[in-house]
Amino acid sequence: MIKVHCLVSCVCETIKRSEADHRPYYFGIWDADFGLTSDFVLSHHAPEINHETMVEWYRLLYGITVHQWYDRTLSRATNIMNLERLMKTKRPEQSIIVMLDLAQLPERENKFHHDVFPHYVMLEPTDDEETWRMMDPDFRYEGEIDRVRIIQAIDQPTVAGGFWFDGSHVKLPNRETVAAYFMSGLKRHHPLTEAVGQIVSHHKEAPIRLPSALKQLPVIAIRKYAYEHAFAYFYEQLGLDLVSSDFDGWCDRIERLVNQYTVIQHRTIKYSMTYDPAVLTEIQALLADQAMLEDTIKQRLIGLFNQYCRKEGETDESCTVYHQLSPSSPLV
Amino acid sequence: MSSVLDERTFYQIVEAQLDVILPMEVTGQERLRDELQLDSMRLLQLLVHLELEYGLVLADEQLGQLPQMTVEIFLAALTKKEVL
Repeated sequence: MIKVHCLVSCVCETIKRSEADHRPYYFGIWDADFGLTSDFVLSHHAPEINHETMVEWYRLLYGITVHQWYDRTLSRATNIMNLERLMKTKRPEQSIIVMLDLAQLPERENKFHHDVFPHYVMLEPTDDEETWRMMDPDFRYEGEIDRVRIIQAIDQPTVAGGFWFDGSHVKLPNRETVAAYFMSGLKRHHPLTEAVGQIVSHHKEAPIRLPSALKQLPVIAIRKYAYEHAFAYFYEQLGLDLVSSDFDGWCDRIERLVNQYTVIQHRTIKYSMTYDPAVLTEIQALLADQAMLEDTIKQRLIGLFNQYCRKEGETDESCTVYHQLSPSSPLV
Repeated sequence: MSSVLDERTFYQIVEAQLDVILPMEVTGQERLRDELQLDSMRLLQLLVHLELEYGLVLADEQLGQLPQMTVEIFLAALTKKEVL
């Protein structure tokens, strides 16, 4: 299982234990929101990202209402008290999700080794009141940690967020909702590549801060692996064999898309150390190539989606003809 | 596998360039990220330094695997930059 997006991984754990297919929930995650500060620094999380749309689609697809227990209008201390209350009354079918700073738990894997790492995990009480079980499906971790230390990681100015839901009744998503969700996340433009281009452009005269401005690029780049889930889902729905078809070729393109962000990051570091205009030109060419590559992936995905709609009896394809999409989509 | 850079020199470069203190016992089998605690940014900085100072490069296709590489594999993957 590939790491894509921590909140999506948390809520999909329940779906994976059910009859329903979790892969449609990854639609659009390839272009999920990220932060770009006013001084052109990229971040995988920003306070204004509240995931409301994401949890609403979870309800529409799987019939599970995700409640936000973290209230940003209350103090962090009050929110932590509310979490402790939730943990004391938690029923087995309930899932509790909290955002914490993973960098505060150094014994935990922090693949990106960032000083601050906002990250959603799930919590469960144990027989010992002073110990909580932490489940981190994104990093395939499950273990018991001191309650106080978990709270310490939540009690950080850089993190604020939490949800709970009852996962006892998972609905099988219907075709119309899957189709509507696919279209809702479909963007003709490529926000991440565009943002990287803006950042490079902003820092090009004085690139000393360019590497730190793009430090979190790898965390956002891996969201592009969500395309793989969408391809696999549609191929299977269309009865195409994943092994003998061209599925692997599309996975290779997706892999290249992700890896090329690392190449871009490498060149930006090189540019910040050399100020060499040839390197800047190379970065711009790589960004143009990224946009073309992602265009190709999106067009193929839309082609598959239209085939899927035809198979399911839907005849009107006009709304998903790629070139008719507004660059400022999402469609819905 | 023969490397264009020996392990000892590599460790010296890492300590000097990235301002880190490596474990006393290093065998070449340590993974760059998990055992040597070098995050992706530091690794890329190191790579640019190796290119600019020593003319050594890693193929772009291998950049994504860099954090998971062991020191030995990384050194074996480095090649002399072609001068055009």
